Amino acid sequence: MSKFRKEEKKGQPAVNTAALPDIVFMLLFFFMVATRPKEKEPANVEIEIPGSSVAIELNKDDDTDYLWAGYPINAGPNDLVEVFLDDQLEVDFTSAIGPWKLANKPEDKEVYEVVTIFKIDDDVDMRTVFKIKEALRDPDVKGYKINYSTKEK
Amino acid sequence: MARREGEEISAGSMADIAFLLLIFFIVTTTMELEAGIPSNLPIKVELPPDFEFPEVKKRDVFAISINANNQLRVEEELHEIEDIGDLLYSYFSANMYNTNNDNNDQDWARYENRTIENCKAEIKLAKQELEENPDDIFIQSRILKWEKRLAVCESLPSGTFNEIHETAVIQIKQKAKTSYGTYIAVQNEIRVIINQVRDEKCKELYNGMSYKDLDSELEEDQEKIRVLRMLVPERIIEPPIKN
Repeated sequence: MSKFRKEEKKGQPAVNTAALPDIVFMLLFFFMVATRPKEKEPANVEIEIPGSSVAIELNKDDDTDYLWAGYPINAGPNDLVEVFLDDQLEVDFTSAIGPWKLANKPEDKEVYEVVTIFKIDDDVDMRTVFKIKEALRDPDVKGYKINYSTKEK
Repeated sequence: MARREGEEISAGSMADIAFLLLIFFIVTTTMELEAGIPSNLPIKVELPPDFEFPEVKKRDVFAISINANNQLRVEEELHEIEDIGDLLYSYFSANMYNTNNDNNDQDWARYENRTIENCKAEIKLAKQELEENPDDIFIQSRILKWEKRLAVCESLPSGTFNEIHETAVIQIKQKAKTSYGTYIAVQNEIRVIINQVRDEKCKELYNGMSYKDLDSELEEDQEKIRVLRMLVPERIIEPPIKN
């Protein structure tokens, strides 16, 4: 009788998922080494950074502070440039830059070793940029290293 | 309940944890590399009341002026941004091999010859002055400059080089309403030319090696980069914007 035993209903052979965590960890490690943390971008500002053919890539491990400046989206003719330190809008940026740089100083480095990256829109006037630079040059702040962020041209 | 051979840790949740971490990293990171034009702001120094500014000759200054309508004046004539390239190149290279200020190109920057003996003599002189005024930061910075020049002389096989005049700078004047885009375009042109002149010098001094191929991680290349930075300095000053 056993010869004619009906074949047991077998389910589909299960895929061996033992290797799944390995693959996922591999992807995870890839993302951990090949990427850098995103910065908070301010909302409602039009920022289109200028292009440049001589831009130098920064090492993703360097300490950096981000400074954003641009006109609000749908700005009228009299709207002023808005300056954001990290992602906080600072109306009085000339006096806010000093404390901001000092607050962002990492434990084991000096302020002058931290690069300030300027993400400034093409149309911003140079007077604003000049004020920002003067605030960074303050002898109490010493934020001398800057980088004009640009896209590839 | 079936008797188990030995307790095994259930590996089912490991995949869940891994996925969670993966999704976290995908959402909070980016693969874009940050790129830009690096710059160092000039340090604010308190000048002593009796400070005398060194005399600066017009020929040593490459003057760029941008007005509120983003029009350029380069060396006192109206130009487009594309013209900066050729003019700046002439500024650097016209007198690079001719330090005789009577018969060289009078429109462009002067160069001065530096030799090992003359660097050493200047250092000795400055150190004597430093003994009289130990806190004078200007004498200290002079000594540092001459020591750098000495290092460059010693690293070159000929022991001598022509350095652009100490007061030679590129000056970018801006108005309050000048736009940032134009300013960056000007900065870009300047750096393209500086890289080009450095590249030519690099090929001349180091057997056809290109400036772009120098690796700042290697020791020997670091020295070459220092030499090239002294031969073709990137000195840009921006006067304060008044209106």
